[in-house]
Amino acid sequence: MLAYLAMTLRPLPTLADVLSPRETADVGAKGSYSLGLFNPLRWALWDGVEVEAHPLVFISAPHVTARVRHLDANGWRIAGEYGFGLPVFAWTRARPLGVSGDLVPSCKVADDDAKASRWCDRPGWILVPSLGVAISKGFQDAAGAERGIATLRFDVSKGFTVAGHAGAPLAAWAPVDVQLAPWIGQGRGRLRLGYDHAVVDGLRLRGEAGLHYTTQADDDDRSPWTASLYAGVDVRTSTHTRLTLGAMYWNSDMHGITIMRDSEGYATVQRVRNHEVWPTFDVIWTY
Amino acid sequence: MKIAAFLLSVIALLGACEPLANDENFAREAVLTFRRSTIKPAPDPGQTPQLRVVAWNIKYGAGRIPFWFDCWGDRTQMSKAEVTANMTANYQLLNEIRPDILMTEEIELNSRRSAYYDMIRGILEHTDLNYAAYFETWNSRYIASEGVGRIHLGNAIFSRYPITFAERIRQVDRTDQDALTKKFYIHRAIGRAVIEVRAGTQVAALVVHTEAYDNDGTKRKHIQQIYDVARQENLPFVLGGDFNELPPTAVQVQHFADERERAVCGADYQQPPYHPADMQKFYDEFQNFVDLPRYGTDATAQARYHTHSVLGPDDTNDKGEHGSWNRTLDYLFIRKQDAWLPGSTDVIQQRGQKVGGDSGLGPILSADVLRLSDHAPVTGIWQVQP
Repeated sequence: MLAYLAMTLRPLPTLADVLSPRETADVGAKGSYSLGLFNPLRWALWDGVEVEAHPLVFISAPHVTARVRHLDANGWRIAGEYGFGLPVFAWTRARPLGVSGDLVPSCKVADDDAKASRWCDRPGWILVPSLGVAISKGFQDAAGAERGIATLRFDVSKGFTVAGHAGAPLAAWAPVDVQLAPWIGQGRGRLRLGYDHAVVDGLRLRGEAGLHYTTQADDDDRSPWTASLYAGVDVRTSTHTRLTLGAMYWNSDMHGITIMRDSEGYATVQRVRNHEVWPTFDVIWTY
Repeated sequence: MKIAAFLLSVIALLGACEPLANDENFAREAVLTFRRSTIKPAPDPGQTPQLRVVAWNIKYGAGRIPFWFDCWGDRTQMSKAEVTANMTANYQLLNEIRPDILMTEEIELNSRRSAYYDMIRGILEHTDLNYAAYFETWNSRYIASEGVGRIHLGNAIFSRYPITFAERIRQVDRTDQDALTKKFYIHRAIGRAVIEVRAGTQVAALVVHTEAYDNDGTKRKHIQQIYDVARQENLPFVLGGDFNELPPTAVQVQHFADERERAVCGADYQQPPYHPADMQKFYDEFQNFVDLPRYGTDATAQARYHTHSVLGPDDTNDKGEHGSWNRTLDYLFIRKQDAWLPGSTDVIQQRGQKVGGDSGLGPILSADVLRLSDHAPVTGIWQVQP
């Protein structure tokens, strides 16, 4: 559940137009809120300030991001994103409340006998601050309505281990790795460029390219760079709901190899980058 | 679980370009051979070839680090430094014994838990062995259990002499697992390599590693199939590996010192009952490197030929006893018409041991064998009757 939520994390539309663009620097008007099956709860506490969190994930991994409008003029919007997380309970609880025993060790022996704790590699208490900025520019049609919006987003995040130790890089699936990297004590930087366009009333197309950097363990020779591409549609399904469908492509180094035949017919091992395509789906309510 | 397996399959079909897990759909399949970067000259084994053979479960280079499924520790991953140190110690032992043919089990090519260390290349480049055939049994993109992650594991046959053909022979999977676990679990196979030891003289080596934790008779099926395959082998052959089964005259068959007295972990990796009688046919049809009379009929005699212990000498069980070899699970079989060179066969158990016994051919070991793996190597010089 945690991994799938991580894979489909998306910001939410504002109250004024349920089919407003997504993943932009726009911040909702006071009192507006929205929530998806997989998208987080976003709630505008004051004009120009939203808080964002996944309600279910929050039970195991308390986290919150504040999105603050810094500029909205002449079609340009700039928002700052300030986040904080404490994922420890997600690492120490078994499903459905956490991923202990799945993505990280459950440490049953250490829990039974403290003398065996030296063998437990489960991540400890990790504080995860994050800092980001989103810059959007709208594009109007002949009638003066804003039909398209381009957004550049940049954010950095780092997990700081305050008790216990950091986890080992998951080397799982790319979107999971990128999303959870700070939660196991790694650092992460993301640069994403997206474009969202209203095709007709009730239908939007969206695309995004991303470049992600995650710090690696000292003895890991994996490339820290991951690239992503997203394409999808948003369809109005009712006054307050939309359906989003799309696909994401991820290119990453997850220690993939292929065994090939060399020029003399002998086997040789070659490193290859991983290619992943993941479907995305959500239903988002907006009020 | 069925729903989860279906969803995973749909996701895989939709296009994660690397399969989630290799189902190993084959009955019998040729495999490529690896070669050392620089070939080291191999001695002429003679008209009646004499070959030092070794079978060794190297526990993926983990030494005595207690991994979670043994339930004496919680480790799921090693650092590169740990794996490198462990494998270096393994190379030291191999260079003391100097096998002509080495059969390994639990060798890894690119697994997260062993820091993605290429053990095939490592053994080739750090010993006198020139060729290797790798028989993949477990290739999963990600095992979402205890953070195991990517696994690329199998058995391998190394040789100083050219491997002219290699194949793997599929064995049945367990039937006592849910669909999701089964998809991501190990898929056992017999590895077979044809080796040209001198011009015009070929031998075969068979490496095996049967199932260890089943409760549905899978291991017994594996053992029967191994027996059938060996009987059908036309070339002179050596059959070696980890059978996960006791000799037919083993005195102790249960309640081993390294089993938990309390339920600390789950039941998935608890030791099921042994069926030692299943091994009798191998002793009847072939020659083990240690025959049953030599193995003995009392616990003290048999302890000399024990090849496995879950606990190492630096750890203690629930009673506070340090770990040591406590059962025999590893074997080397040859045909009746061949012979083991007297004084050459042994279980390599500890530092200071003279291989073959006090009157054996040696060498005297300086490697700390008890800490290199949860299995001891087994060895002998095989005299091949063409």
